[in-house]
Amino acid sequence: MKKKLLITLFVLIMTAVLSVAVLAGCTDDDSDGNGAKVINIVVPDGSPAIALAKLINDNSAPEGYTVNYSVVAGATQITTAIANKTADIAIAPTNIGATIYNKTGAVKLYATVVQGALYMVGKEYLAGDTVQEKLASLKGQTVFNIGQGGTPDLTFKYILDHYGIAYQATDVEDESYVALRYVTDGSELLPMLKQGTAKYGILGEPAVSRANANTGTSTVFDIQELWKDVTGAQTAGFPQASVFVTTELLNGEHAALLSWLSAGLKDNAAWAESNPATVSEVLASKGSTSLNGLTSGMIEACNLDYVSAVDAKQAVNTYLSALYGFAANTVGGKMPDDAFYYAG
Amino acid sequence: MRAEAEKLKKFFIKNAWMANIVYPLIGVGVILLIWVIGAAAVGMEMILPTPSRAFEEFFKLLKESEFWLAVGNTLARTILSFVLGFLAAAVTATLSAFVKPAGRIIAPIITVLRSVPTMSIILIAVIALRSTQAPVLVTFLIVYPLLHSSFERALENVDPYAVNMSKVFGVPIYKRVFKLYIPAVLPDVFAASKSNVSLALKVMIASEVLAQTFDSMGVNMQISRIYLDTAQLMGWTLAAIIMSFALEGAVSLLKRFTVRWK
Repeated sequence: MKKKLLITLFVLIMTAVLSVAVLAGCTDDDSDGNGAKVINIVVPDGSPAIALAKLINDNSAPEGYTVNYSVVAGATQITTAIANKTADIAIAPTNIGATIYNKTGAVKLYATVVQGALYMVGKEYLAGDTVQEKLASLKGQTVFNIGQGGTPDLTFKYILDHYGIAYQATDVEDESYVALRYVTDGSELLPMLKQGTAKYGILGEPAVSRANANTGTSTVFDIQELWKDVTGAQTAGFPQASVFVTTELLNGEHAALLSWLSAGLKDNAAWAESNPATVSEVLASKGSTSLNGLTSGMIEACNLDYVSAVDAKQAVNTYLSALYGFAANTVGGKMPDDAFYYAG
Repeated sequence: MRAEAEKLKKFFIKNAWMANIVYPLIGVGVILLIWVIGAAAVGMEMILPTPSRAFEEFFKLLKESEFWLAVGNTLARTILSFVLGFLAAAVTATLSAFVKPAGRIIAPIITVLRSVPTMSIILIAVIALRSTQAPVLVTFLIVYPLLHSSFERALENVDPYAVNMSKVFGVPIYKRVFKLYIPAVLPDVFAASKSNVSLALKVMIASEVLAQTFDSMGVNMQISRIYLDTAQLMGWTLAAIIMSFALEGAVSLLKRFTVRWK
């Protein structure tokens, strides 16, 4: 009896110890064999990845650093990478970065790099002359969107709210509201547009150009333009994705790394637009699956402008407070304070 | 040794509550302990919140109408897909057991259904169907072949001696069905149902995430994940575990009633 109890206890304790060891087992190694500091840069596939194309292609690193890049499937993987410190620098949706900041203080916003790459495509043009009339004509129709609760969903709902147009997440179309349906990513929506099971959809570039070229749709709304009308923002579009840097790198000891990063990101847009084929190639080599066959036009439509945290502060604030007013948990429960913005 | 075993037996009979309550509680305690230690080791609520935070979020959810809407929808869909799978399995298993050619035709279909990766069923269903229908189809396709195989095995295991005897003595068909076959297979049918009903719930939630079904537990979990609200995600998970227990409990209750009826 006693023996059995002891054995049982032993097994239970071992299980507990092992599971903790597994959970806590991921130790991070900060330097490679030559003593250079390893910097991991992680970016989600899609337009944000294009913002890194030049840095990846140049394949240079400042003295004393080894830089690794990886393109991952989605924003949630970015979060995990930052949280468990396998990423030092990451590009993420701006509101997700704010959430991480609010919850852990582990990162700061370094710069915004994608000023909105969202468009609404449709099989038919919308009736009406003004934005208000056009949006109202969507009542009784279904608009497909990528990812319930994500940036495209939130911004579109915000715009509909502003124009006082009712909407509902439902399978049933009704004249009194715009029906919203969701898919997990753009590649799922393209066949539905092609078949005609979907008539309107909100997509991010480069999926927008793909849809227009292959499924017989055309762009009916530039979400960035609508956003500007609605919020009175002075800047082009909205800061959809930004560069976040862990606070350890911002303590003043890594100035060389940061100026190298800024330079690479700043020159990226112009370089990428004139070398679309190279962009596709280098990103595919880092794990991207959705960016083959890019053209200059597609890259231009991604609105890849580098704006440093200091200059972007106002636009980011407008954007985040709009999301905050919509649902507090979209930015991590509260508006991030001034320390969120890297002062340089 | 014998004496000790007797003593142990007496102890358990006298202290049935000990066996039924205290030991399971120790089991739950072990899980909670691992969770607490794990949360402390990770030290970041965003990755692994503590159990107390998860329960806090769970009770917060209970007060929201959206929670009940999502739970109701998911539960209704789970029960619907399970009942469909159950009925289909009952029909095809009976056919397989009694009509040999039908059995030969059905067998490869079941094998194919059982080996199709869940993911590919989900991905195809999501494109072809509405977001409220796809998860039902997926759950049905996962649960049905499993139930079919269990039911078929249960029918094959009915005592051949009793079957032969009932034939020799010319027992009428309906009597054979209700007095021999059904009572004989019921224990296996309930055992299979119990384990599959909680599997159905798990598959349902997973496919709701991929189908982006509005007002569902799956999508609510996904949204908590997007907003890095891991504590809330754990709250939803607790709700799912409780639902799982409730579904299994419902099957056990049904079993009690039918055993009485028998």
